[in-house]
Amino acid sequence: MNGVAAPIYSMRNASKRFNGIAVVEGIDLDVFPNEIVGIAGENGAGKSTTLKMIAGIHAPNAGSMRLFGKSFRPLSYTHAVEAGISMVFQEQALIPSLAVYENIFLSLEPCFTSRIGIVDRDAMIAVSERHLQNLGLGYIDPRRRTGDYAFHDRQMIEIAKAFALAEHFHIDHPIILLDEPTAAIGEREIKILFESIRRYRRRASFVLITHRLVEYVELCDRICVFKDGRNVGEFAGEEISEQSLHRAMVGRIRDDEYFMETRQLSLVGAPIAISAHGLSGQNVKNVSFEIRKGEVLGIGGLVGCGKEAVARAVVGFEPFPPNGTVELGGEVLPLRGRGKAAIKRGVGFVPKERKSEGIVPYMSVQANMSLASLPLVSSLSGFLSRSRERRLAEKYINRLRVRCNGPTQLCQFLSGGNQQKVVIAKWLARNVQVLVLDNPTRGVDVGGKQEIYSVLRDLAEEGVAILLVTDDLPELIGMSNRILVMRDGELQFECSAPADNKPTEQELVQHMV
Amino acid sequence: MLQAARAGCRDGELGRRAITIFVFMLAIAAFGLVAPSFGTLANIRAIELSSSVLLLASIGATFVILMGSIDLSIGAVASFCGMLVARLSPDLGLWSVPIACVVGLVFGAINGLVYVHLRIPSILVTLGTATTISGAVLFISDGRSLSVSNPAVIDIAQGALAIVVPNAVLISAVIYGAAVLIGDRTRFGRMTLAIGSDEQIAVLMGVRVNAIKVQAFALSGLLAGLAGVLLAARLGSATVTMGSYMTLDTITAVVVGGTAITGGSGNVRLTIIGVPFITTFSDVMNILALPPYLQTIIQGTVILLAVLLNTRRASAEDVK
Ligand SMILES: Nc1ncnc2c1ncn2[C@@H]1O[C@H](COP(=O)(O)OP(=O)(O)OP(=O)(O)O)[C@@H](O)[C@H]1O
Ligand SMILES: [Mg+2]
Repeated sequence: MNGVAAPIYSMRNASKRFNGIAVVEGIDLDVFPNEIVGIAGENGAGKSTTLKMIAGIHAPNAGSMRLFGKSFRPLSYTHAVEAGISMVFQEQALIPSLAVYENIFLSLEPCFTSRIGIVDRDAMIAVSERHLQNLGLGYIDPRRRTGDYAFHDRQMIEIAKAFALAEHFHIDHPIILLDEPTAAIGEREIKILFESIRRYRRRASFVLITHRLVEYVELCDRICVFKDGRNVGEFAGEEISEQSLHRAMVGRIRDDEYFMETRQLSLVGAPIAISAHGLSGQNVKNVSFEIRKGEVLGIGGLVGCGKEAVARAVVGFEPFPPNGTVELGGEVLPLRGRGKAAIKRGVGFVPKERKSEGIVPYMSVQANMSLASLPLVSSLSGFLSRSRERRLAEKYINRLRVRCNGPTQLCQFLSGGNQQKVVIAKWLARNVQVLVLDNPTRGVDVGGKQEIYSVLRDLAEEGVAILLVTDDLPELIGMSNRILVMRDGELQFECSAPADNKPTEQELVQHMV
Repeated sequence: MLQAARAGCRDGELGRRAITIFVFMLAIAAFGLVAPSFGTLANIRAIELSSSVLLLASIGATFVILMGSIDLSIGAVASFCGMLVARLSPDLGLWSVPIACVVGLVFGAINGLVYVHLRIPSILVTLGTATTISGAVLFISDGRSLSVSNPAVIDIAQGALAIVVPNAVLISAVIYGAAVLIGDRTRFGRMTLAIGSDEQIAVLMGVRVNAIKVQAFALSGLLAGLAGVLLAARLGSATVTMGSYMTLDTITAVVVGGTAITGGSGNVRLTIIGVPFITTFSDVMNILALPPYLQTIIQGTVILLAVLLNTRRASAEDVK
């Protein structure tokens, strides 16, 4: 389809600097009609920044853009939306206290306003409902508060919003920008989303960013690879494969040792580190398990199956299912104040929502990393030691390859994947006995994921018990010693996953649905 | 390429602060020309003293604001503690000072406890206690102004170790230094910022969020009390509403300094930028004997300008 038609959107030699630092340097990008273009690259390569330039959120410092054959200089997101561009943001941009439909049409109320100035809510609700239904979200009531819905539901609302906006202005051929839309949702939602994308592409074009390479292979017609804010390669058609993308991004071919299965320990006779008995509550029914020292226990299942709630119950992070007990080193953790008790006994928790539960945006990278281990970086006087804090931060910045200007840069200005690395570093810095991770590699690039896996293997070798809750099946299978599958709040299936005999994705999925 | 930035200033923050300070210097130079008595030693001393008082109260306010809360009782607490010193000093002498400070601390702790345990927004809690405490001031003073005559107490503000540096300045400088250390290098300081950003983060660190909140309010009460004491010592008398200007002036000083009113961004170090702004401007307008209504108009405009210069407005999500 390329070559025949002219691009409907094109960006030429665009650059963007923040405080004098070049983040994007001379990017070219074309989008052809009905095309799905992928942008691949490491964390901090400038992918989100590029999309934000297209969507009018950042103005490029140099370069030009054309849309539908005309010069295009959006002054704001609303402006871009009116011109036919809508975007799903990497960090959700919904306002929790507003109703779902109000979020979907935020700032577009005038379009639904009659001559005498009355907003036609019913129309807004009806349109919202239709778009939610198209995405298989019939169960979401557009009248309810957005904040009442779970994180993954809000992600889907965000996606529905982009589709609704694209349709609303009667643009013949809108362009929808998707910045890591699948990072926070499960397999089932991903499938529905991809179906919608394929359906819509007959009258729309897409630009997709994801850190699951397989999604590029599945969807994209063409992929542009970015590195340090520049174009470094382009793949089309047959050339697109996970291997080729991996090599283009990381510089070497993906080896079989991605999950370092050979370093997986065999745990015969290892003592039990933490156990849960009969966890029950609203979405969880009688879940029991134990994790040995050095073991990685994976829990999989569709979103909403209750696996997140199990993780929260183990670490005592409210709200969690109240019944059942958690035992740590032979001691039952109390129900009230479980979180504090757990942390005191060396349990760490990497939560799913990095924006509200993970990082303090207006704190430096080093302050964020030391937040969970302040005693460790304090000097004898009881005050935090700047040099120790800095050393600790430098260690993890190198180890996890966090791309930042230095330990004192504010986290606010890090790219999404790099913020995620900071959240993980925070718990690595504190010597934990048990580490509970909820989708720890969300938004992390393929190279960074491997670093994280390697760190987890190190921890296991030191005897740390790891509970890994994840929506990423390859990660679940590759990393775990043992896998639990949950469905509708119950444990459905358990299997061991020794390095030489891993279960297949199909085997697990059949127990999920 | 990215590393090159390491040498540069931190996210342009310094640059922005430099502009604020530069504008401030410029304004001061202009004042010197317009109002000849501005540059006199006596006037500079007056500014130093009123800045010290405001700085103390603003330090406490900063921690509260960083947490995303607000303390509207600062003015009432200051009035009460100033009055208490006036009332007690004839009998107790210098002992009245620590007593007044402890009373301030208790008021602050009560604010914090009510806020945390009854889960009432801090703005409402402190609005309520401010009213109650204002009433209590009338109660202990019979509604009259009292003079502070104990020389030891007066010395706290007006005396001077070094010739040009009054004790009040020394006290506030030491406390400011301590506050900066607390803000940057202790768990309390880090957690107030984390709580202001999102409470869940602090919860996940195993921090007793409620304890931190109560501590921050207690600190605010303590420093408001001390500010009231210094104010009474400086004026040589206590009136029932003498501290009430502090409630809004502290908030303004904090925000002009660059701490976000919504919490989660800023630090106590910045507050020292905002304080002289406010005190200098009101001093100048007094010298020029501008009509009061004009003073308020000018002050409001200048504050708005200072906020514009000094706060992060880069990302729209900050603005609430
Ligand atoms: N507002 C900003 N101020 C300063 N630096 C910024 C700002 N926004 C982004 N950056 C920097 O620009 C670089 C590119 O960021 P961008 O968000 O585009 O990365 P990305 O390719 O989307 O990465 P990820 O895969 O982690 O989401 C990063 O190094 C980031 O620190
Ligand atoms: Mg991004």
